[in-house]
Amino acid sequence: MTISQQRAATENALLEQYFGKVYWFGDHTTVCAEVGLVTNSGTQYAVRLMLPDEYPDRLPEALITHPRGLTNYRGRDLADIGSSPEMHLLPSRGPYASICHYHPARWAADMTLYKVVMKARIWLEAYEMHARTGKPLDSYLKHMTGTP
Amino acid sequence: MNDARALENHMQRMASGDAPASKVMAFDPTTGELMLVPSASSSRGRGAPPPHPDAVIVDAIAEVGFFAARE
Repeated sequence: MTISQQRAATENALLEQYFGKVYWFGDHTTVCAEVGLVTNSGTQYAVRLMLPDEYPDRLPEALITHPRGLTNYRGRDLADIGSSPEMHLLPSRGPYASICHYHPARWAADMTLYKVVMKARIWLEAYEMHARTGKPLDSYLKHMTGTP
Repeated sequence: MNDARALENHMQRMASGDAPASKVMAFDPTTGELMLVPSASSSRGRGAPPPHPDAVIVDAIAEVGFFAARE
């Protein structure tokens, strides 16, 4: 774990200001921060950020950990779909869908977890639109390229 | 158009690079809700009170796009 205490305190304060309580846990190799999010429909979700050892120089992964077994419009588990550009998904982590947020080439060390969680919040709203309409998530979320 | 349909329409237009200049998407931390508010440049936005003093405009975060795994 390389995230400094000062950086963690700054990240925590920013996350709590906008999203409420943050749960931190992990071991000597990985630090995780988990926050709860509520969509406009009132549905509750949990997003887990997995910070790599090189954080903040490398971006975190963002997993939807609650509710388990999120499915697409056709009823297929998002974790089983794995990587999907149309659904803005990366390869899953066990039972958890891993969502696209920033392009690794566009990530910078001064970017914060707040921005990643806000992207997750927008992703979840798009997910619920997909669940209602069947349109892929990239109908609602633009693709990010590796160059500005 | 109701709020949910308006937000869906706004996000679809943002995804296609055609977001209307009159509205922007905001996040209200007191409710967790995403909503549309008049943009600062729109006539309705000038002098209009924010939906909540802590609400933040999040259009810019959405407009940079989301990483696609195919890249």
